[in-house]
Amino acid sequence: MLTPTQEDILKELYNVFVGEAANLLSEILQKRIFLSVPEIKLLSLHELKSSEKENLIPVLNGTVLSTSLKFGNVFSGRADFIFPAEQIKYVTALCLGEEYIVEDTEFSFNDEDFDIVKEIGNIILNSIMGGMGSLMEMKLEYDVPQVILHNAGEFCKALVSSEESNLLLLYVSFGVDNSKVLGLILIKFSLESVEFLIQKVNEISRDLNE
Amino acid sequence: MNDLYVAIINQLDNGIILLDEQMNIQLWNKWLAKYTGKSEEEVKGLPITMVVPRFNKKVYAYMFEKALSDGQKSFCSAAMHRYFVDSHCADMKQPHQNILIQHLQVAHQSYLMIELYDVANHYKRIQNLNKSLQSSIDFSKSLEQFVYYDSLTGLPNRKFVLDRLEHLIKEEDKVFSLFFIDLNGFKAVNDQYGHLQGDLLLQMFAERCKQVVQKQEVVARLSGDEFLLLVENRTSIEAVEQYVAKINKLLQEPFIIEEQQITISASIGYACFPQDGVTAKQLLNVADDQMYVQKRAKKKGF
Repeated sequence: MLTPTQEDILKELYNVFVGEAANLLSEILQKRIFLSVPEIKLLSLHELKSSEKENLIPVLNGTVLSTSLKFGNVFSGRADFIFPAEQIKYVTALCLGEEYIVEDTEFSFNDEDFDIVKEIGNIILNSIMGGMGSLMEMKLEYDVPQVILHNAGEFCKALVSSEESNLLLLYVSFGVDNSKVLGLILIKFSLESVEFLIQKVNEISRDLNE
Repeated sequence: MNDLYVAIINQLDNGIILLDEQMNIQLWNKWLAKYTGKSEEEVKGLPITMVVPRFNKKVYAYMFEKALSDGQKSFCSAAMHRYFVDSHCADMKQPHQNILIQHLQVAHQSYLMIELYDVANHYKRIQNLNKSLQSSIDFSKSLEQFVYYDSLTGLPNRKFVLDRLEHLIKEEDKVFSLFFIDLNGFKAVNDQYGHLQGDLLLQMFAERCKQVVQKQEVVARLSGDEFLLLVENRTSIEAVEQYVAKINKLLQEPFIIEEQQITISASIGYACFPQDGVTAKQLLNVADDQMYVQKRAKKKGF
């Protein structure tokens, strides 16, 4: 759905947005935090079911922890920042500077884990929402994200049955010092909002060519 | 401010701070007064950074600014920030506080509201709950071990195998074989070397069984030197003979007890479901009878 130029522009924009979040997180944790968006895709939910089946569906179908928020009025949608459950303890250990112990039993999370993911999600999604608001030249309304632990299959089911039909998929590389974890940001838009976003990207593209 | 609203805010079980655009305190609720020992009268009108020095950090200034300019809400966890306001109680444990920073607009006037939650006790409570849950799980596991497993050998016990038999019998189109194994000459080992060494031999035999048992097979200790082998989905004569040979092979190597090599054998009887019986009791009786026939034949030297 995106031309290579549109994809490049969006990738660059979102890298700037998450870069701001990385600075803030570095400051809070007093560690070197790297955040980047190495890959970006705009898909219809129908395409998600078919083309991303092998790579993405297994992740979305697993147990995931999501921080989610709804945004906007005219330009509206829902953003989810997700980590596969098996990475949560690793992320929280990295943030707290604790030793990561691989658990061989079922995942067990405490409030501290949820709060850390909520804060990371809040910072990243705030930066993205703030950035998108500037891009769209409008003030987006959104709340503090909610943290939800989805059992296997639940997240994917909710995702494909949602009203919004388009999905902006951002692969987020989250690095603390020398360790790296991959998370995903999924932003669901209505058709009008996607057209609006593409229109803005095209304007940037035209400005660059002039 | 409306007295009713102030009264409500003062009843809350968390801290509320209201700042004006210049970051001066306009409201400091009773919870905070109690927690910090600083009354609202003492702090009202003062810059927040003077009363809560931790907010001097760049990162909070950024969050405050973003809240005022873009309406962004920021959540700061106790896990990553520890705490924000000091407690005046000297004996208070290390404080853990979450905060939520948000923008408020009242009649063209912008404010920042900081909600503060003391989660130290909450985390502690959850930790204790988790600990108690884990002990319950551990207790259930040890209870299950006690009810269904033999304490000497660690093998499943009579109850385990009987429950399994009942379950399999109820399943549709299920077939299985049940082998009754009795160790020959075990009494002599007990008499010659004592019960402790006899127990050791049973444990060594159980270990050999555990090493060869596969999926859909269960080896259980009934009592004394009697064992059961349950094999699902295999009832042909060839399969049964293979299993008898497999059990005998387990006893081929002598057991070393007190530096002595001890060789024992086994008498094995079997029953197949459904042809030899349709209840667990019938099947056990058939396998037991067959085992005795074999034992007597062995004694007579056949």
